[in-house]
Amino acid sequence: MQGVEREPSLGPEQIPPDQRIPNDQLLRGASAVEVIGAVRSWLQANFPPPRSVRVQIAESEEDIARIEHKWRRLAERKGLPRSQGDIDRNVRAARLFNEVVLLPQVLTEFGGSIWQRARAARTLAHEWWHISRLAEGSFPPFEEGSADVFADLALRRMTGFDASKVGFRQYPKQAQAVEALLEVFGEPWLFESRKVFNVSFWLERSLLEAGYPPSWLSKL
Amino acid sequence: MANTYPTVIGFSKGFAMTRFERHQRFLTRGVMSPDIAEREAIAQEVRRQADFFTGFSEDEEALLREIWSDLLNGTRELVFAKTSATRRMIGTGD
Repeated sequence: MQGVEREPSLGPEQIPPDQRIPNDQLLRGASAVEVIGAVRSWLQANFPPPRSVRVQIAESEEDIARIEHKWRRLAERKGLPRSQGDIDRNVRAARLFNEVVLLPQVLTEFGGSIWQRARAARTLAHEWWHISRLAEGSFPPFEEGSADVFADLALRRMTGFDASKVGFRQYPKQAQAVEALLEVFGEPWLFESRKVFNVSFWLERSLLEAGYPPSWLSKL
Repeated sequence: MANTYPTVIGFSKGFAMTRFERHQRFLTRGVMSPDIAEREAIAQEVRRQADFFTGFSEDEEALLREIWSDLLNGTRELVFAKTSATRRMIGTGD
């Protein structure tokens, strides 16, 4: 057999639009890596994190193994068991300190349909929220709910698509609670949570200042 | 006409859940727990079930894997928090 023609890859203009995503311009890159770059730059420009963050792309098993090897040493240096550098192959994104690695499933989506690209962009936004947090090594209240709210907010501004209504949310109940707090305190408050060193303390203080009694806080 | 609709008819939420809802709930329980041992036990059970993430729609599978990512990433942070606290206590922290 000769002259096996390579299937032409879709140019940015040829990817069919998705009627659910009003503005897909940012997602129309020619390759997955290009789209990740565009989304990452957009996040950096619109929601600059208070510390440097590192987004890595694992294209293959070799990539994952290489990053894993590095992470195991990094974990050890920080006084953690080596196994904390392990990367589970079923995750979409793994995070260690200020580094996040996107696994092949997410990479494939970034090069897929507009819908898949939007979903992958939401995953990156979700992780962006976590790695933007200055307070390392803690488990603050509402961390996942606020990541959900942020991911929706970012995707809405990026594409005009309201993901909060379609079941993309991982933690709908906690996200609703965060939205209720947002109504009380406003958006800048939400972003303050990335800049403080002790999120629990900061949350408690802002609630007390807003007049919520300590008895209410103990339920958090 | 054949009934193509789900086999599960719930009386109330949480009583009769779909397989997806059960998996989502199980993973979420782990993510919301501040107890490292409980999170690890849930992770172990998920790993034991080879088909835990299969047999779902693409969106559903992605959502379950997102929650799974949060479970493992969060556990890592908790382990780090605990290690740092211990080091501070015994005075070897930086």
